[in-house]
Amino acid sequence: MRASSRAGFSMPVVILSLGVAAISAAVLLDVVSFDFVLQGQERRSREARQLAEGGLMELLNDQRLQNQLPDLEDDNLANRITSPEQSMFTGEGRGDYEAEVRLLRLAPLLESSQGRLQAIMYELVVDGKKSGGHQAGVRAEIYKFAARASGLVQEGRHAR
Amino acid sequence: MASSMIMMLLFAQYPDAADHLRARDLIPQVGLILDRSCSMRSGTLSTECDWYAANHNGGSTSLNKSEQMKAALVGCTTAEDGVLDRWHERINFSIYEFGSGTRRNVEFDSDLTALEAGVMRVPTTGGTHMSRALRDHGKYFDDYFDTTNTEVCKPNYLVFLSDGNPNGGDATFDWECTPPAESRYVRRNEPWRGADYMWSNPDLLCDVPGDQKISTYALGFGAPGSFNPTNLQRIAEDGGGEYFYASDVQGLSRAFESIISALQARSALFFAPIAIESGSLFPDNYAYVTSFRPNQSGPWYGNVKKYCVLPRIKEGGVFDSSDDKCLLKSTDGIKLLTNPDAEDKWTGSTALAADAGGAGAIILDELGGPGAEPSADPWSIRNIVTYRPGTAAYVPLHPDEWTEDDAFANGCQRHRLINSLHGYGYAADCATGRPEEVAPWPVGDPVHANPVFLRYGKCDDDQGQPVEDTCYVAFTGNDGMLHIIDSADGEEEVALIPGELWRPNTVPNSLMADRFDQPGQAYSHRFYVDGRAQLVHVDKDSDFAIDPDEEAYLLFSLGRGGSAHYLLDVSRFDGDLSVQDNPIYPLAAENGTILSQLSDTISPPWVGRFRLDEKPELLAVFGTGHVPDLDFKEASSGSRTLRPTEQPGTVVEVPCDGPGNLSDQSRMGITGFCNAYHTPACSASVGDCYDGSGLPLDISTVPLFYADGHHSTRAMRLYFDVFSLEEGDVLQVEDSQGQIIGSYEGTALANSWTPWVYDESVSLRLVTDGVDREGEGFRIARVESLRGRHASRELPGEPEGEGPSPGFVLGLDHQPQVVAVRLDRWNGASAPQAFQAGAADEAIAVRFTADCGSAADPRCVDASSSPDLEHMICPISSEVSVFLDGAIGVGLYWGDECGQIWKAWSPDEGKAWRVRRLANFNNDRLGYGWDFRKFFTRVDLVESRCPGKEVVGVYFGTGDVQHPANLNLLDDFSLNDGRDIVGVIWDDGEVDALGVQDLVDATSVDEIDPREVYRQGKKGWMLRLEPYERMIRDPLVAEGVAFFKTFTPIPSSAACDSASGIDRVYAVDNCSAGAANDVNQDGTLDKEDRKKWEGETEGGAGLFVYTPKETGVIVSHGDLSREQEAELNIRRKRPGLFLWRELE
Repeated sequence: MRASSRAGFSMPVVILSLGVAAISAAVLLDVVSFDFVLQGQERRSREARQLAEGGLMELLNDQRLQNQLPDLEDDNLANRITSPEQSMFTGEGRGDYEAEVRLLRLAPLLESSQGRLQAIMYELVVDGKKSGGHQAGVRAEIYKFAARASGLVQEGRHAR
Repeated sequence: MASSMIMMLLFAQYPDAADHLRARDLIPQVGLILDRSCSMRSGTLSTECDWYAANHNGGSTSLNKSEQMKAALVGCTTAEDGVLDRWHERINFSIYEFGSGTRRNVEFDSDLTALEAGVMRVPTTGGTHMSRALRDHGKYFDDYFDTTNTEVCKPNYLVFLSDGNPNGGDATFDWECTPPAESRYVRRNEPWRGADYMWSNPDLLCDVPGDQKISTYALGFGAPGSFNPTNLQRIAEDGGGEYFYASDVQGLSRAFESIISALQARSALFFAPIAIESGSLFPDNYAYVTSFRPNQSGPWYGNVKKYCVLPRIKEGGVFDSSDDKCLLKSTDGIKLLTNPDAEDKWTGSTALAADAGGAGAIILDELGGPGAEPSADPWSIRNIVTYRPGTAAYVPLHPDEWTEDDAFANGCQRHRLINSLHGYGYAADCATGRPEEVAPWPVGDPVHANPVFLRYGKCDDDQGQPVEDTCYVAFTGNDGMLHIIDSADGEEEVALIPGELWRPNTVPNSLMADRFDQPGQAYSHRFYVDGRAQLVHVDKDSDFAIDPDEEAYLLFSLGRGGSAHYLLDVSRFDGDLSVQDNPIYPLAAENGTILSQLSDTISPPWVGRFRLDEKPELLAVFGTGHVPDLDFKEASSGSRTLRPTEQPGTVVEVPCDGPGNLSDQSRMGITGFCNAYHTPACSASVGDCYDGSGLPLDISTVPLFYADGHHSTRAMRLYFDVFSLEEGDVLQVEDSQGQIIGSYEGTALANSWTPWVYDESVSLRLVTDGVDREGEGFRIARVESLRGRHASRELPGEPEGEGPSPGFVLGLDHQPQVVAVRLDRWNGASAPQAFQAGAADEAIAVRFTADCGSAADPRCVDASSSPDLEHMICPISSEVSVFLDGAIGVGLYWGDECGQIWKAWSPDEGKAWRVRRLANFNNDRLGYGWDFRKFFTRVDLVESRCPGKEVVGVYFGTGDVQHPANLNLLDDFSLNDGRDIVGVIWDDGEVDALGVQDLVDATSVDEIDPREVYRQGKKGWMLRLEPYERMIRDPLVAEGVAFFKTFTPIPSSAACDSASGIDRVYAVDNCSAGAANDVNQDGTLDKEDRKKWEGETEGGAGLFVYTPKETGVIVSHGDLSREQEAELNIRRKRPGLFLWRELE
């Protein structure tokens, strides 16, 4: 007779334990899943930044950049640049980047003739975009030389 | 002025930057043809030939024409002042005499003794067989010379000395070398046809390779009136030579000066910087290149051509190797080479020569081509204008508009001058003025003058085709013109001759009328408009185009041509110059003003905004320029040009009688002609007034010179209070060349002035009918002389009487300054003055000089506030460099001709000023002469951290630009070690009066540690150049590399070569002085690698800097004469990265 009464106690405990375990597992899974999401976002952001950096270097080495440097006649003294078709950093699943190059100022440059040469300073802003709207940007100041001539008197203009 | 103190230093050469084009050791072969006809016995004059009289004439100084000729050749006042004494070492002479026949008196390659003995053997007998004399002596050249005793390059001349008209001796000229040989029978009265035979046929020396012409010069010898110059003039004209009137030794010497001074021809030389077509921030791919071609005599040729600069750039940034039409090309797509076969965009010409293609060829084509017959209105094809100073009007250069008084030339010479400037040949119809043919080349030489680009809109349309009437290129030249060319098609729109170049005044060194007279012994070339040019443009919208609401001026300087800077308003330009739109503003030396001592403007002003009284002002900053008189070798021993008391152009009345005055100087004695009544006085020796040929023997007087020892005479005129000639007689007023200025009969000149005779002397020739009717004759009552520039130089010694002090005292005879002129006043007190050369003290914003004088001048800074300025007494020829804060000038740096570097700055934003002497590289001594290191080039300023702190890097190089070919410079070792130097001064604000000992000498080490040497107290480094090497072009620092371009003359041992030389570019790390590249590719960077480039040129242009948008900055040597590696720097293919950061 006593053996049958012990069997009726265990079942609810087991069921409860299973429920707790299931809930715990679900919570754990959710926590893990959330962590994965966070890590993915961070990774995608990092990837976007890496994309921007790669794009920056790619553009700096791209012959097109020199032709797209804004002149004083360009609107807003800026030009937008898209990533090259054969980019090493863009493509299916890898995201894309966009850039804008802005004319900043004319400036003397260290260890170069003040009278004959001046530096034209540009700002090159590159935004890397990953899928899901993740993006990051880098900005560089670049320069090119231009001749300076006595007698040319120009009013100051600034892109920003 | 005691005459003993004055010495006409005829043989001292006036050095200049073109001297290395002079032929070195070139020994011309000159055949003297001396007239022995009996008429040489007449024309006796009282002379000063004491030595000749004592040794050859029994003590009498009265010499007939033959004796005058002999004295001129063998010695007059001393045994050494004869032409042969002076020239026999530089000319290979032979001597023929002629009368009624010819005789060879002295063979070529004879010594002085033989030459002088040959001269003294010349008798006075017989006729005047000119044709025969020319033939026999010309043939002798062919008989004598072969490959064993001459050089291919040696020029051949006949110099014909005669007083008479031809009267016998027909001759056959039949030996020219080009088969079938021409045989020409030349009659006795047409000797010029013989001269033409030897000049028009290409080769007269058949045993010498190449073509050897013989050019004939003619010297009319004897008093005017005692010979007929017409025949001699024609002999010279048809013989390719010149006619000289040689009444004395100096006249004869001048003839030989001209012969000996012939320059070596070059097809194209490039001295001037290249102009790049401005796009916007970056230049377009078009360059405008000026070049010039020296000629052996006469004006030089010049040109401007349009080239593309870089070949096409293909995908990936490599150059298209198939594109070989630009100045630079690439065979591998990467390395750039200079392209001597570049194609002129205007004409398609690929010839490098200055007289091929370019704007010059287009003008020549419009004129009809070389040798063509001019059009009906030859002066309407080109639009050449000038102006009369003081009158606001542009005047066409047309014989109907530009008078003798305007042109400062009489008669046919005015026509020749105007024709020549339009591009026609020398020969003219003197009655109508029409030129006979188009000249070989129509444009003059831009030796140092650079082209300037003017852009009024888009130069090219959307298809890339050039748009006419929108963009222009302007360049100046030593034809005295500013040419403005349409950059689309190369057509000359207009040419402007500054009005100050026509008549004597304080501005020009040479007058336009002198343009045919070059070179001379005293100068290689006549410079007119030879300074640098620039566009002064207030670009409101920063688009680099001259918009209708903007101000733009063409600023050009005369350079070695004189002492003026010009502003030409080009704010609006429609292809012509108008008084309203294009007034010209000449800023020139003017007595009584601060700029009274403005000298040769060989460096351009710096123009820009400068901080003055706390606000930026638009200023032009320049030094007072180069003093050419100090270039003479004799200058170092104290010789100086006498400072005239009267300005050039002043008209003074010359007393006619009395010691030292006109009649005395004309050697007629104090009781000379001035008060004498002149009637025909026929020679008693011939019995009547006609010679055997029926030609009148009119003897009136000697040429009338006037020279006071201080001033030269550039024009004279005479006033007659008595003038009543007999019927049949005429008085001819002639210039020194025998050109008749006017002929007067009866009472035509009674109480009247003659016209101005634009020459250094005037001659009167009374032409009679041979019948003495006992007329009244004429009497000169007044004489006026128009002053030229200084006449003579003085040897050192004690002053006598009221004469100037001996020697040239720096700081007294020349007081150099650096001046900053307000551009909105320029040459006027309140506003620029158009068409009027001058200067105004009110226009000076600030100036720096040793002594401001007694009058208070708040704009003047001198030694009282900046003690170093007491040492600023040497000419300042270099360009002033400006240190910038942004685009605003805040400091000035310049070098002077004593090897000093100066700095001016303001501690309080332009209210007060300080000046400091940064360096003296001549052992702290001051002076002039050839032994001093000199600064002619500008210093290059660099913001630098080389020594470990922020400094201004002042990169410099010394070199005497005015003596490019001389080897005997820097010979005084108490001043320096005999070497020129290049280097840098680190101006840390405490630099003061450095010497070479304060710089580390990096010559013998591979590099220096700039921080370490700075810690040790050194203020920079220097490199000693090699022997005779000098820096004659501006230095440049680009991206950490300092470039110095030098020139080393190489004397040639070959008789045919001129001085050539080695151009060299040093490329060194601007901090360490170490080599910038492994030039010899031996794997190490050592001092041997500093010599980045060498080439054999004559100096070449400065460093060529091109900053295209598509690739990095290109620094090139600019030597276009051959294909060679073009770049001196390592070109950065991509933009430089200054900084980068992540965006927030």
